Amino acid sequence: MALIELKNVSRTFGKGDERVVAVDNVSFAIDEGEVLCLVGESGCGKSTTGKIVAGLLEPTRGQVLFDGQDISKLDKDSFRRYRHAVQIIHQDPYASLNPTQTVRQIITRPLLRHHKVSGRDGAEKRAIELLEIVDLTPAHDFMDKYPHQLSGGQRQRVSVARALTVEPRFIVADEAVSMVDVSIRVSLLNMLSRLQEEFNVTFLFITHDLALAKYFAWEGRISVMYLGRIVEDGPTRRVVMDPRHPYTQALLSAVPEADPELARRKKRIQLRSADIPSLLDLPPGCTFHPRCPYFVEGRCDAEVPLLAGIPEGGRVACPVRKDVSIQLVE
Amino acid sequence: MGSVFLGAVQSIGATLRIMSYNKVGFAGFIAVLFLLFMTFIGPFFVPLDTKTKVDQIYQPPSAQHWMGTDHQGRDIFSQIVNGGKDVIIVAVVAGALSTLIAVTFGTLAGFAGGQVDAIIISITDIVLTIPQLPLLLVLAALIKLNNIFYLGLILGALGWPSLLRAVRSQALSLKQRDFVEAARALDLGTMHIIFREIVPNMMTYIIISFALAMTGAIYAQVALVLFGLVPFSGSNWGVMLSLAWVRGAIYFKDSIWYIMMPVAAIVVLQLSIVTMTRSLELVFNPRLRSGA
Repeated sequence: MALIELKNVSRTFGKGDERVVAVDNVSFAIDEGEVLCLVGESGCGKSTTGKIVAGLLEPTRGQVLFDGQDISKLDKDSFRRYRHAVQIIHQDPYASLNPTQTVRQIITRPLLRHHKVSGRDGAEKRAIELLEIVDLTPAHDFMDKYPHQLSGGQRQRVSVARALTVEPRFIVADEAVSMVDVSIRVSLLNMLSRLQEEFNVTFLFITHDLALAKYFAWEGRISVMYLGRIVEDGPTRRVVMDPRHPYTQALLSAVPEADPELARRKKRIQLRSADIPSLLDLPPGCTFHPRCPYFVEGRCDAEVPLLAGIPEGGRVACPVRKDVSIQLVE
Repeated sequence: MGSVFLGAVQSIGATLRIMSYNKVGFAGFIAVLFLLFMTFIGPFFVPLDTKTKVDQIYQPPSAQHWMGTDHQGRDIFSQIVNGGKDVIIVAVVAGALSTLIAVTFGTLAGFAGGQVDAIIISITDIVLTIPQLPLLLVLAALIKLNNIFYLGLILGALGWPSLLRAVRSQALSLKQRDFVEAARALDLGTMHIIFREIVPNMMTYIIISFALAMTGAIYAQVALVLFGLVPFSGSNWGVMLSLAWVRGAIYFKDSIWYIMMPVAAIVVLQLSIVTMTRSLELVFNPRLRSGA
């Protein structure tokens, strides 16, 4: 049984002419200990999906299942168990910590409130342990610091330590490394990977950067989102080596390569338009059709393509191209 | 017991050190302490001079009369020392009440939203549009305002709307912040979110508004006394001003000390309170501390 499962989840914002469908009929399941990467452009509904998974936002339609149970139907105690089991790490390290609290207060308050430790001394000891787990050493030096005295990467580590206070089984990492310097991204990612291996934490890793997704979820799965819908998913290896949906192909061809030789041989997928359609006025049929190089008139702009399984693994929402492999590197 | 006492002394010491980072603010804080000492302890040492001395009318400041004498030859310094108590009590009661109403209901409106928000905001708008001083004049004529607590409560009950709107909009913005969402995900509870996550981030603003509410209350009550609508017995900076006014003090060169001293006392009190907020800002906003 999947740890978290989304069944036909949709979320709209606003009313009337202002109505925006942020997430449209999204379904996926994540097993315990697995890593799922949600990839897509900004504004495609990744973060909204993450918040729905974390129970911070209610879906307009559809169900979120935790351990097989619908979270909207849980009683108080079960909901609390779900609430503690699922934590979120935000994108902006400058907004995710309360500027008026010291690291000690940030870490010990959840510990004391949920009786994870006995007394102040226990909380102090556990806080030091947690700071060491997220590589903030020497931990004692960080306890009395305010967020504004820490760097972006250090703040992000404090956010992770704070999430770990309630011993979560599942962490939604919403662009968790996007806003820190490139030089410390890798060590942050490695720290998150270690949590996954040592504590068997399941991850929903949300990012706009396919290179990061490749690095973090090589053993896991990738779901590609476009304008609120999942257009392709599958094991990371398959999606990266053999992308089928034209949008996934375009994304992968746009990832810059460090090797100039490889960069020269890499094929650029030419889109018909570089503009993302407005969420207020989505194109009919497949929402990618105005930009898609393989656009078939009368078909792509008429019917909404459904996700269909492919033998190589995963699902693709493009009946036209789902069985066609292309070489991105010649 | 001992360790609790020691801890309290230590935290007071740490707070004072933080406050001293801003020299101007700390000077204001010292001035406020001095004025409190003068008005609440001073009267035991400097009794109110009530004896009319016809031969000493309108004396300039001297060793005997530090601030000169009034139209009846009474010592002005003793009146200043004895006349601050009512002013400060009314200011504190009014400031505290209006800040309490504004913070409680402003945060509630911003945090709860929906119907609760709509009701609170419409009441606020109604109170906000009432012209304050004319209403106070009418109220003062209808109700006998000889109890200073009542006066403070009435001033406080009218002074909260603009602060409430500001607190509400801050709460609206703060509740969207990621750290509040993280607190929700950590199941820290609504009370924690309001009083530990949201209100501390508004404290700087609340403290300044509290100081401004106090200064507003001081002006309002002095105005009421000046109009003769609040029958204050005894001495009071407002009463002194009112008497000086009635005695035509502004027409006589000699009486300048009589009318200026209560004005100076009010100005110094206002200035001390307002500058003290600079130091208090440091206590509530760690980002402003340069020395830490």
